[in-house]
Amino acid sequence: MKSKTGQLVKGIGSVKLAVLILSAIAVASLVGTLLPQEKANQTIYGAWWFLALLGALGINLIACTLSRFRLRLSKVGSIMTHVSVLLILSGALIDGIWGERGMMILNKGHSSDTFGAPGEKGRLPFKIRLKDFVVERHSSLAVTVLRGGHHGKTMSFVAKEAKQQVVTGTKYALNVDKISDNVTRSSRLVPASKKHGQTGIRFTYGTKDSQTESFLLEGNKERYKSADGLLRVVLKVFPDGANRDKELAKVRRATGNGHVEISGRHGSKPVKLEVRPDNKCKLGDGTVVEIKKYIPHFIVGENGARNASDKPVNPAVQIEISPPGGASPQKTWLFSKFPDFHKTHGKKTGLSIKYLRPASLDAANNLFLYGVCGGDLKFAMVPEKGRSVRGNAISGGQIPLGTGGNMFNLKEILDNAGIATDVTIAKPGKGTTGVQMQLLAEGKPVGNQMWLFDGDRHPTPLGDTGLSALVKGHPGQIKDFKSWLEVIEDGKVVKEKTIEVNHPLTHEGYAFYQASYDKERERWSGIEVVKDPGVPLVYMGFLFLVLGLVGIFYVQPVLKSSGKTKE
Amino acid sequence: MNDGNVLFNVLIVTYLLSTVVYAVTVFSKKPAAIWISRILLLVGFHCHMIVIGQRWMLAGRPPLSNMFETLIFFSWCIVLVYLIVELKYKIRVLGAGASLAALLSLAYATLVFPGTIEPLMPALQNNFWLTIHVTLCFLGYAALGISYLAALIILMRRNDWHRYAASYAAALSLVAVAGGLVTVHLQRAGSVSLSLNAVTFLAFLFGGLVAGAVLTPVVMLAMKLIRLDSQVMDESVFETILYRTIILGFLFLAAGIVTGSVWAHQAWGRYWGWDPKETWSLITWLIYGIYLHVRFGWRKSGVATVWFAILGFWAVVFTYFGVNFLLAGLHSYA
Repeated sequence: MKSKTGQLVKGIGSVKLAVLILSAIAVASLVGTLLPQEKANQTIYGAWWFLALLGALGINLIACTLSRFRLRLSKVGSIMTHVSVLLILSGALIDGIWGERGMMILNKGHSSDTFGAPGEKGRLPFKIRLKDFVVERHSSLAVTVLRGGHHGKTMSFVAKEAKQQVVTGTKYALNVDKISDNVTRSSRLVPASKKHGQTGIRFTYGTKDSQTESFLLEGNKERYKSADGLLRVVLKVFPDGANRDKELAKVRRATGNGHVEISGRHGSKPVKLEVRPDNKCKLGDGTVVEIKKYIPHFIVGENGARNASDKPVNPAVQIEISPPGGASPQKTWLFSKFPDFHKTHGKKTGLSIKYLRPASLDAANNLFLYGVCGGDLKFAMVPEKGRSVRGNAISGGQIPLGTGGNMFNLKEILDNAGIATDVTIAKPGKGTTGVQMQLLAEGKPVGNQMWLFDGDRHPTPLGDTGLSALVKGHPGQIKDFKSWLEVIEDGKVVKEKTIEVNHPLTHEGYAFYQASYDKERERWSGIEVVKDPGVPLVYMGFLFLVLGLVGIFYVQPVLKSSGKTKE
Repeated sequence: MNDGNVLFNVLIVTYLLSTVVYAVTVFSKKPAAIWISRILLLVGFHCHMIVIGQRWMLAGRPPLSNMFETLIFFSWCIVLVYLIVELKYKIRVLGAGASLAALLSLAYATLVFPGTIEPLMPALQNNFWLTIHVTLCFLGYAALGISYLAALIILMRRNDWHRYAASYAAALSLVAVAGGLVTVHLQRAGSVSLSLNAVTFLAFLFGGLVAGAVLTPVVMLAMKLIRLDSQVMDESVFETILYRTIILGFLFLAAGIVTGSVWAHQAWGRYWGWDPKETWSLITWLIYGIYLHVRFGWRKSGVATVWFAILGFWAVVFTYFGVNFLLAGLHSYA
């Protein structure tokens, strides 16, 4: 190329110009990173002069390739590299002209064919429906092993099924056998040694056809309330028979609606006021407290507080406090299920007032089972109406219940019982996360398998090793969000895919990316709609770039030197 | 990986020893010196590999997803690239610098960043791209790190102003590393509480420049003591190492940017978004690209071109650290 055009092309494609343009692009890009992203996109990366710089680079590259590189094998790397940049730039140009991009916010069950900001809405030639949307959280569990002797010396590892982890610095290892997100713990009564055992009973309750089994254990689980709310059972153990019989004889049906307990300002003796409308009492300083109303099922409706039913679901008492000296009286509500309500929400009267309601009031049938240490068990059955029944409780016997068609079967009385915990895998979404592990010493199992539960605050001891372990999940951390999308054409579903980050749905040149989601209620999903027809060119450019660079630096020198040796 | 891991401590001690041995036997051709230093570094390299492998097993994913993990990997990459350079070009002059860089990278990892294993955010949960993209980038960074050392040595062996300027650059690098460590520790101990604003930034910049100036004579004295300016070595070997490592780094960085771009397209639907991390990696790549054009297209081979390697590696460090701490972007997790 000796012509004038040849000279011109050479000048345009010169290395000096290339260096100048590349430097300008580098400096402009640098300035852009110092600006906020939005502003940088507008004033630098999207500005005409920046695009002109990229265009100039393209022209420089074309001129350079035309003028300097004759198609030779030894130059193939350089040509490929320069062509690769041209491919990337033209791909970007195509995307800039024909590409589309915008967000589509879809509620569960809704469909749409528009995307992008209002005003410049894009329209799809088909509809997209969000069939379902889920946010998955990390079930990855970190197991922390604490070493007893060294305060704070711990190690932790991520629990993975069928993975063995050496406890560093010891001869022990832990083998994770099972991880489940939905385990439930249930306890049952088991015989125990004389030393550790307590009196316990197993019983069933229910109708003739459906009985549920439960248990009571002295000192551990002494009260039972049936699911239907009709039966309440209390187990108590006394030091000797005489005391037991005396207490048992006193058992009677509780009446009334409990009482209000008022503690004075200076820790004086609490005053008890029976819950009965208009019942009142005068405190030492002259304050008068009066019961105004009792309602068994307190709810707040549109017109204020009201009673919803006759069942004692949320028993409440309204009282009126009249301070001494004729100041205006105050009315306030008290709740038996929220004994601290008045303390935290009540008006500052200086009084501590609580509504105390015996639990036996709220069950139709109250069964008292009283035993003595290492001896027999007696019962008193107190029904809502009618006479109470007393007698000896025996294993396998039935205790008659006053009202309702239900039965109480005493299955077993154990003088020495304890609690064993069973772990079962529940339905997905129920229960907590647990890890089943086996402790190993020099490769051999030590003790039984054990379960550790996410959320347990106290470390579980690992046998007699002096080690203990805790399990902590990362439930707050998002693992993934997935949208189940359907492509609808002419009212028919033609394609469906569950998209997630890294796995988009593509249809007719459009791609749908999982971009964001409703962080508060997890009801909508943000989908980025992208049409980028330039991508194949860009990717080809990427491939050429890497191959070209390898060619320049690692193939061309070899070709050159072999060429030399041939000469 | 941190507490009570014997291997990790072995690693630190080995790199420390290796730094010292390489430094005191810079130009030694005695087989004993060669083998002691080489064995030390090889032992460190293998322990390092085991430490990374252990963490991989513990986490159940490649340990390349946060500052702690990438610094440890970066350190390993430096040793790898250095060992290749040493074996290929039969020179040990860069050994002290490479060992020190590996050591400081490990120190940063353990002293500054938490070593806990955290679950990954959704966009990073792609082991394939995570491994490829990060490995390519850090191999590139490591090669460019070695080129930085070669550039410093070329400049510090001269007898003109380049010597002083390069010593100042080396001193500044040390001040930056040490200053970072000290600041983090003071802040953690509660002795100082700093918030990032223009005033603290300028104060740090100015303080760093002054401290660098103060440290420069010390650096020059140290180089004198290890007789770095002795004429034992053929200058052209350094030149060769300089551009060979830059070429390697340039190639890996290109591949790293390309794979990152493909990954971003898969994850977010765009292959390029001008986010600060992306842009800075491009700036870095452009600097080396300009160097290559000046050096081989324009055929300039003067000493001024060596400064491209200094500038370029500072851009690498800014891409890796500066962007995360000074600029915000999508890459803020790593």
